[in-house]
Amino acid sequence: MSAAALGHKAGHVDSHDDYVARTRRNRLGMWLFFASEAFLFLGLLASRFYLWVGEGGEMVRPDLDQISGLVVTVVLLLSSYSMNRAEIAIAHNDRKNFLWGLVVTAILGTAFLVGVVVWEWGMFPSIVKGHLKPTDGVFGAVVFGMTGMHALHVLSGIVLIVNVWWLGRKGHFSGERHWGVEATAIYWHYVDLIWIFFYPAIYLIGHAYGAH
Amino acid sequence: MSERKPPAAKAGIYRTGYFVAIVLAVVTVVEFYIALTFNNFAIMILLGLVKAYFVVNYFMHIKSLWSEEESH
Repeated sequence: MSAAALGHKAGHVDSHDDYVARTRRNRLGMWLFFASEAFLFLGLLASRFYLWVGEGGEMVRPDLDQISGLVVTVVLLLSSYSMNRAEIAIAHNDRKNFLWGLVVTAILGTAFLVGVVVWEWGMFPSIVKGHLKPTDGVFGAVVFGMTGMHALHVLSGIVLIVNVWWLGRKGHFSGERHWGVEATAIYWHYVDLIWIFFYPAIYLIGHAYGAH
Repeated sequence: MSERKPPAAKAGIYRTGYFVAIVLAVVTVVEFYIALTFNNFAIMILLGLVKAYFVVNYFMHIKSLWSEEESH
């Protein structure tokens, strides 16, 4: 079958219709990826609800710093907003706001990571002593498992954002063609979506164990 | 991907994002307050689902999976 019969031409950049069709398929693939990731995060959530149970069968949680939990949560929510702005900007060929939106998102994402790694984990005890260690029984294991897996996704999201920013600076993406930006944005919002459920599960639901 | 939209449409989409961010912030504060007062599991889950709805619907454009229109 000739290339013409397949609707292609040698060295031809795909048409607008081809691009739209490919983007629709890409979107579906991205959501299937999210569905597969959901099993991982649901497993972690299930372990939290199965293991964090008091002597009387009531739900308990570790006595973590509520303020740091709330602050990192707000920071991540704000980063979703700036990512959304960046995506809207490139969809309207507003490159300046697109690049700024990405920079703000990467900074807020890094602030979230620092909040978790420095304040919650206490990875640098000379700066802040953490609240839990991974070896602190069932609380430590589950908190580090949940926040660790989530932080890994935040880190990979920041790498994607920096990559998109770099390409955007070099003139890639336009209002008509910006699947790379859209994919990065919905990945980032997915990371935020996971934290929407992880935050209450780790910090809020149940009574603080050992607290008065 | 989509036809270029006028600046008014762009401003409207920005406003939607701003509104969603405000809703998420308010619900997070309510969630925090409920946790510190009467700590009801069902309400916490419900508030989480409300936040998830806004993120999936407005930020992740889930409708674009089956809609003919583009996400913006």
